[in-house]
Amino acid sequence: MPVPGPVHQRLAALCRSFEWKDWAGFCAVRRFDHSLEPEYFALREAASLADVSPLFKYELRGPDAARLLARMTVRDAGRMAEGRVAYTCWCDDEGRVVDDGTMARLARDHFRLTAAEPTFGWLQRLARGLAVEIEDSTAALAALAVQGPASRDVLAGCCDADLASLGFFRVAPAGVGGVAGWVSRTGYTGDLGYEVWVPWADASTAWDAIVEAGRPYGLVPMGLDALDLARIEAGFLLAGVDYFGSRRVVQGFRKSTPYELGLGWMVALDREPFVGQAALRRACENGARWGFVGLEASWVEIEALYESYGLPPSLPAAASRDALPVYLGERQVGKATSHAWSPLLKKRIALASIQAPFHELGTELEIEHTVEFERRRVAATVVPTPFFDPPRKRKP
Amino acid sequence: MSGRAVVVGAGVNGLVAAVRLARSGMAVHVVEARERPGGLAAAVEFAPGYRAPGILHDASGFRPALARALGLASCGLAWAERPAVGGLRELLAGDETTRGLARFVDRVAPALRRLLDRPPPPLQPSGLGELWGLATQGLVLRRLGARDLRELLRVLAMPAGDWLGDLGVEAGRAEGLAGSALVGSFHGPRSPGSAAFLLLRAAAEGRAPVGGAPALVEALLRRCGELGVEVSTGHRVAAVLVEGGRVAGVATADGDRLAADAVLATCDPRHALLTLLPGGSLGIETTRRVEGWRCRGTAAKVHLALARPLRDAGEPAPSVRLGGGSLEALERAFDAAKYGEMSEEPFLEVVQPSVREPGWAPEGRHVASVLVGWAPRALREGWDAAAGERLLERVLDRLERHDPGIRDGVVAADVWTPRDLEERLGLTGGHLRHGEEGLDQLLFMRPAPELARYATPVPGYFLGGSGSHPGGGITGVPGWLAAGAVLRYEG
Amino acid sequence: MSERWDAVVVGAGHNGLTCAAYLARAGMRVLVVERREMVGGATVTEEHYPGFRYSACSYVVSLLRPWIMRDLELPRHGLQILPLETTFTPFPDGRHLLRDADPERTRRQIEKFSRVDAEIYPEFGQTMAELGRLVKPLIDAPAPDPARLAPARLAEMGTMAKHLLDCGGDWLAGLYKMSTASAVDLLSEWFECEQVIAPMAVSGIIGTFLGVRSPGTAYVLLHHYMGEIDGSFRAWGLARGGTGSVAEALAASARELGAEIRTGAPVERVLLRNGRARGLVLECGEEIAARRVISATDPRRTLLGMVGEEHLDEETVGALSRFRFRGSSGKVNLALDALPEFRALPGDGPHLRGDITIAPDIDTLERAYDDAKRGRYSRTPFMDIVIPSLTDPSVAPPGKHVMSIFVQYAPYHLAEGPEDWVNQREAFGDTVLETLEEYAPGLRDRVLHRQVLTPWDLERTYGLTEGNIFHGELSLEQLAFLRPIPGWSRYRTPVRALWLCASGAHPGGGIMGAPGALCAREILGGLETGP
Repeated sequence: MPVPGPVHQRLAALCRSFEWKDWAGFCAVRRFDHSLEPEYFALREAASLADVSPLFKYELRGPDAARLLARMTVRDAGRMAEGRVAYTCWCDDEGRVVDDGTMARLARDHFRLTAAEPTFGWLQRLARGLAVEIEDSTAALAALAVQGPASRDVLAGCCDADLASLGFFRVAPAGVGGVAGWVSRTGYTGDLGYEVWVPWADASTAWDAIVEAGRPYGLVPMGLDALDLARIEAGFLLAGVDYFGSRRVVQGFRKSTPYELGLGWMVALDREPFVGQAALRRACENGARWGFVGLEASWVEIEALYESYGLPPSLPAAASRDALPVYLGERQVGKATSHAWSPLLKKRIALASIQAPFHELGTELEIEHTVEFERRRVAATVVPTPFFDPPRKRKP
Repeated sequence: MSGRAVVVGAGVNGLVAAVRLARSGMAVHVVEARERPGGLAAAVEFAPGYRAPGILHDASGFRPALARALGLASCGLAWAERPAVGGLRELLAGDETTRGLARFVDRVAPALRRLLDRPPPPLQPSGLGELWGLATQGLVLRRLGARDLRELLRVLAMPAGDWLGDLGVEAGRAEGLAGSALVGSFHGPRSPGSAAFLLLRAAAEGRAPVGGAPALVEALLRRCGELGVEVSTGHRVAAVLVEGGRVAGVATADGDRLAADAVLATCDPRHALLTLLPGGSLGIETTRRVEGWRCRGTAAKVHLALARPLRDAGEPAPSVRLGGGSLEALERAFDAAKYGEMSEEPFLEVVQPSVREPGWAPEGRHVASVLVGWAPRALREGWDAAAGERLLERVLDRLERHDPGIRDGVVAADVWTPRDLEERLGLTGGHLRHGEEGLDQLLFMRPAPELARYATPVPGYFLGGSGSHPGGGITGVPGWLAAGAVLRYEG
Repeated sequence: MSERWDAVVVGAGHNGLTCAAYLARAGMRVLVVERREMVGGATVTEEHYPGFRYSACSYVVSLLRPWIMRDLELPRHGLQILPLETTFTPFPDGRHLLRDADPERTRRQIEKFSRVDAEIYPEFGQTMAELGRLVKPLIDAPAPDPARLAPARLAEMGTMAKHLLDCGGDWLAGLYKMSTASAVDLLSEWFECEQVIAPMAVSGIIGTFLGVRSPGTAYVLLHHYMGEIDGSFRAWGLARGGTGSVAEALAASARELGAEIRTGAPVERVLLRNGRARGLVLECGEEIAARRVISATDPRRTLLGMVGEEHLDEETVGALSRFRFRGSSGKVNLALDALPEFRALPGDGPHLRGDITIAPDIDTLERAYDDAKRGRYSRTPFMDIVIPSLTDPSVAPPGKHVMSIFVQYAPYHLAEGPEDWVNQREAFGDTVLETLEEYAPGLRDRVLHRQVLTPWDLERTYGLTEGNIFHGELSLEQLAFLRPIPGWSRYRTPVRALWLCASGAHPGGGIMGAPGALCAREILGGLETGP
């Protein structure tokens, strides 16, 4: 049974739908009202506020903090400048992905790592012989995500940092609503957005300040269902849904290398030893068995399919994690692990793992679509991700 | 493999490995941290004129076949006529109640020696060669015959006490056999798998060299000299150098850098892999396994300079085993170690080489080499000087009870507590055999499946000490087999 | 001498009943004779105090094979296994550890003691479950004997070898480690905190004469996880109506399949002619002729007791006397007026509806073992407790409860001799209650009735030699092809037509039913049965 998060009272007061879920043992709202659409559209047109505190967070402090992360993850943390944030993943000895998250260099000798799963033991093991202190700040630090086109304006109204100069994937100390913490220009929505990091006990104060500052801009609190939809549009994978962390499953065929998850771009092979290096080198040479790609289903065919039942085409508003098989002819060549109807793009989109070489861009496949309890198929094309990538996300 | 090799540690394993590598044409440099070579086999001159025959005083596990393969005959090595002093054979011989046991050991010994003297079987045989090796090993076991094979498998899993009890071995002798096999281990006679200690040691035992372990060291050093092996003492290896993903040599504590194409470490696995290697050289799982390598030392060593020899049944005793007199007493002695205490009534394996050979003590004087169990490294109150004295007291008490008046004959005493063994000899946990030898830490598990065939994940870095198959004792077999792995390495 | 049976089974314990059912199913005329007035052996429910039904000996159904449940249609015959979801460990300092099926909740519980242990706990469970899955075929089949050359056997060993090789080197090493290491050593490779290690280590010593630090105790940890492998079949839990209902369901199934069961019929000896078993002689003098005799009692009782030394060769007699029993456990069953109240977690709750383990730390567990080695019952015993009445109201009157306490160690071989158990029984029971009182103050006042079973009682009443609950120690050298005696192949004994079908044969003890079913399969020549 989950326990309350840092702004639980605020969330509970607002959650008219009673739709909660358990996120890493904490109470998280799925959606506040009967439909996720107001939250979603606020995110895409104005601004939204979500509590993402259940993320696992770790503070690494000491002269070897960068070395620890360099040894652990596939990116060379030592080359990060202060104030930078990097999205990274880390692997086991066989080069299979354990988890993904962000690492932020808050100071020369202070990094913050986020993760989807408990990682304290993993960090400790790798820190042997290194001068670094590891603190589990999961329940000490709250994280609030302010996202959307108006997010900068909203935050400017309650935060004392110079947001204009806070570039994409950068972090800086900041006070929000008078509470001292950090602000990073990061997020899981694929849009312009920020994450606010404040002490757990003061999270409500920061929340209130953000809500207040957001009033003129139409800021709306956002639940996980809307966030899920947004992240699919952004092409972001989710551990436990689009892939299984290698500590979570036993059979090798269920594990993935970074190359199979579309994360090969972040792997820096030629440097000091890091976990899984030799295996990753081999994987890079041998090529991936799978690719993680975007699929766009043919709306024309979907419409025609419903028409053949005499029904209007109606797709659920929320995204789904019930994997759908993907075919080439008679043969199943993959599975769409996250799929949704994108209200913004007016397209049916999916994130899928497809066998090589059918994962090449432009390949015409078919994805299962069930109407009236009958399983049918519609054409789906392999397309690049992200599906949604507005310039404002990165622009200064 | 040709080129340069550095061997870390000039104990018996290190010297044996060096000889094998040098004979095959490699340029070998052995680096030893202590001032004198020989490791646990080196003589300990603990008082003027008094030498103890090594911290480990039993060299009867050194195979004559190995000595021949190394070419030691011409280096002054000779073999004693009688069963080894301190060995188990002398306990097995000449007693009604041990006859059946002795005969069983004789029947299964050849098969066991084949197991011990070859690298452990690979868990995932890759290729025909390895499969064939496995098959031949299996055949050797089958040749024992159904009854002996089943009995062998049965005995290996049993507690030593049950086995000896079933065979009807007389209580004092049973205690001696089990005690000698188990002293220093974390097993008591009631522990499953303890019979294996006894069986494997007895099977591997032969005659000992004249002059004991130190004479073996001398012969090996002479052979090294003949082959041009360089042996440096007083130099501690501080780190193994890894460049471009492979071994490049070693760095010593005083700043020297010795380049090498292969490095063979004979120190214990934790030291070899977690201290000497740069961090991150091993995978996470291997690191975890090595961190979990159990090496909780439970033995202490006491050397006594005696004005008169210790007597057993009125005669000067070449060796004697003293305990509470029964397997129950031995189990109680072991129980203490579990709680961080030293045994109220310790088990003593005493060897007096001076009774049969000259050169250990001045004329008319004697040396007693006493292996004491159980004295755990993790002593609850810590190993300070007072604890060392308590240990010595208990030893002298026991000796006095056996041979009244011996205490007055003690001219000097030299005590090595487990802490001394760790700090002065570099043995992690003070473990004399570089790691516990229970069934789960033997064969292809020693010290971990991916390390059991002497190579490590770092190309060019090999393990060849007691922490590798077939285990500890003065045998030289790990060193020999590891050298074989080095020679097969393609570089 | 009346009509001739195809098979007569001695003992209506759960294995004997299973074997009889399978043989009857294949068309044989089967008779089961049982000494006591009720079936079940050690799988019995007894009412010693009105309205309270004790699972007198075994109290948890641990690994009843799903294929046996299906083949013999046990659910239709009344078997219902209820969940045992939680493991509650109260500690003397007032803290507690409560583990259950919710991973996040369990993680937070373990985090109270150690963050890294909480993190690695699911991975440990996963690894154990996988090892259990790899080992399962070895339980559901007779154990191959490496010393035998018969072609059929070689093929079988080849299949087994291939299965193991397919596992991969890592898993093979893992299996080897599980078989040879001690529970504490194995758990210490994963966990750092004693409050996590001690409660888990105790499952490795149940029914053995070993301590948590003794090599060979790691293996039994797998049994807990094998319950997961049997998955939705839920092989781990409480039998509704007490464990006696397992025997009742088996008996009902056997009867429906045509077997006959006679209770109150103790056996005096096996009838032999020309070295071959021909039937039985009951204590009342009646002779029963049968083509084959199948014993569901332990090997020593069967051969030395019912056949007799004079009919066996010296080697067999020697081997049997070396087959070790050394019972080490006792049982205390309580009728309670009200629920116990644990200091560490007061009140009612899910924590009372599962396993309650008293295992404060490793040293205490080792000292308990040391006591046993010296011929004393443990003064600070380990206990495994269930309160079945909370999930199964049928075993106690409303509002009242039954508490089942498994205790170690209680060595059969007391320093004063096993007969002295008669004198020490009550003191033993008192020690158990006093120890428990420290964790649950006021318990003593709620006790309406208590039944104390010592190894002596287990032997006298239930026919368990030396009080060993597994018909012989489950130590490495007495397992697999070495069980019960090296060279005895597959449920056969040196006496022709005399078979062993219970825990003294592979795969050993616990309520599995496997020995009974596999013996039947062997008799039938491999037809009709199997997973």
